[in-house]
Amino acid sequence: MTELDRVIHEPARLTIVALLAGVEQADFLWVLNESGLTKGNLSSHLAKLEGAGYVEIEKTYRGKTPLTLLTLTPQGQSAFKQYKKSLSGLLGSVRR
Amino acid sequence: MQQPDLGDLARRPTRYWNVDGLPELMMGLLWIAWGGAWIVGQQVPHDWRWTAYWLLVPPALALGGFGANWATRRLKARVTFPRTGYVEWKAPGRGTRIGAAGIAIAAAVALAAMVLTGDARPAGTMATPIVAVILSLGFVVLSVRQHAPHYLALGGLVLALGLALGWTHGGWTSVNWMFLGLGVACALVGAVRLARFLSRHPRSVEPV
Repeated sequence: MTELDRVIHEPARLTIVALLAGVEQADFLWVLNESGLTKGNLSSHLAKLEGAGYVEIEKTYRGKTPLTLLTLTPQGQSAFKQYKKSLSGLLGSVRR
Repeated sequence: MQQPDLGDLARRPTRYWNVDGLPELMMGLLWIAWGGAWIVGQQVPHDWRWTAYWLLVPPALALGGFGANWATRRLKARVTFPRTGYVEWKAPGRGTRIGAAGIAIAAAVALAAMVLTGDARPAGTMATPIVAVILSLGFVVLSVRQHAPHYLALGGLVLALGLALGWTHGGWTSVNWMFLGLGVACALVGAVRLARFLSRHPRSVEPV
């Protein structure tokens, strides 16, 4: 049976990874608004994704405004691609 | 938390582009400039002013497209990102760039062929409805891709404008009036959406 990546499979983390997969990079505020998670929840999931090497977090400033930039790493991109492939394979085998 | 809809999440960045009404506002201003400049150009006396006008204005209008894109991004950095977050969009893929270049080259070749063969009059008569249909289809694609129903309304409006102005057989002048009308409508839609966006989203990140 196809194994699903446990780090990505958790719904909140899957939402974060799927959002970041569609952009070059985005900040914490955008992901917070789009995911509907709380600040604390988002921070803890981001820490897990950063620990797995899937997301890069850069704290910077734009002018005088603090900015936390999030980027899906190449490792994260390939893990997400692999996850989607595994998921469609799994769904295909269930349908058969 | 339920398993998320991956297709919907993949479309969010594209939808985010028009969340604030700024692209519609800039697009509207660009079309007003386009239509207005060509209409004004027809009133310029046929002496050195005519030459100077048509030497300067078309390149300026062509550059206006790039300028509008640049201005939209700058405005988003000031207005949108401090309220609802910063996004750096992915650069268009190779296929998209080649497709856009192909359409531009095909349009330029068709226009040059019409001018060189002196057969521009029939095309001029049909120009307004043809351009209206192309723009309308563009709006439909935008509406579906970005989940933005207001683009459907703009598509319907440009189609109605194109058919009505095409009825007058005004040729290329009708196209310019259509651009002007569409530009005003787009700018109004953009301004209303921008006002709503600003009232719903106060600045959430304050400078330190």
